[in-house]
Amino acid sequence: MRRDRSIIKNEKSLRTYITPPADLYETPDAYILYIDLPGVTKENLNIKVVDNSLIVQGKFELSLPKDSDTMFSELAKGEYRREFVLAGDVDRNKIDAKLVNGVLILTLGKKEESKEIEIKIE
Amino acid sequence: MLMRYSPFKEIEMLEREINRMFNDFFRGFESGYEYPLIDIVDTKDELVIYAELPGVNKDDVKVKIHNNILTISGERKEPELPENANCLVREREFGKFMRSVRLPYPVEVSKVSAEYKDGILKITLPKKEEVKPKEIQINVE
Repeated sequence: MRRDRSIIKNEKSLRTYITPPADLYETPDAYILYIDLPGVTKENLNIKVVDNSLIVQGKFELSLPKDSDTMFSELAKGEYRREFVLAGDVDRNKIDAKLVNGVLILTLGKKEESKEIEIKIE
Repeated sequence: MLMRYSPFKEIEMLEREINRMFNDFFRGFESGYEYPLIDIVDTKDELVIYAELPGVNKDDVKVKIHNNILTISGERKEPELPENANCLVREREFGKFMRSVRLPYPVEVSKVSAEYKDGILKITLPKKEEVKPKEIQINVE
């Protein structure tokens, strides 16, 4: 198994963010987005919609015990950030978020008028 | 497309081809890094190991210690989706994993505890009495 994650620099704010991997699925009623955010608690997570983009930002910190000495470190601590451009058929008022075991699950409902309907032939 | 023959062009193309071959060859190594990623932290009384395992079921992870080697193994299963879901983007990976680390000193195997929260597995391994740092008072006469 392989981990895909890159660190990018956000030009505007000159800060370094971790880009978390994401999966996107589409159903007739909604888009489902899975984002890996290990170490992020509900309090440290911020999801917002600005214009037509969805911004997910979260902070990962390890609360280390007192007087500890890190011997070996691979975990990327810091700020996660990912921006998605919303398709025209997403209803901005129908976005649900769930954080389960370090994975953020976003359900983006589609607009009623852009849903697929089948037309019966008489 | 018609182009005037130029020997330099041929050399350039060959160079590009060789570079591509090298890049492809080395990419294969990069992709196989270890999973899960871990942090090892040493404190006065215990060793703490943090492993990044987002979206893994608690029951699908196993932690084993044998001969002073700690092994984290398990499986990351795909989420259950509605039947008519169509995949548009796929960057996360699933499957079985296993990683072993040699512990830097002996630990009390019977007192090891593990806790899984927010996608982070935290394993606490208390040190054996003989490896704990001791302070010795030196009396100067």
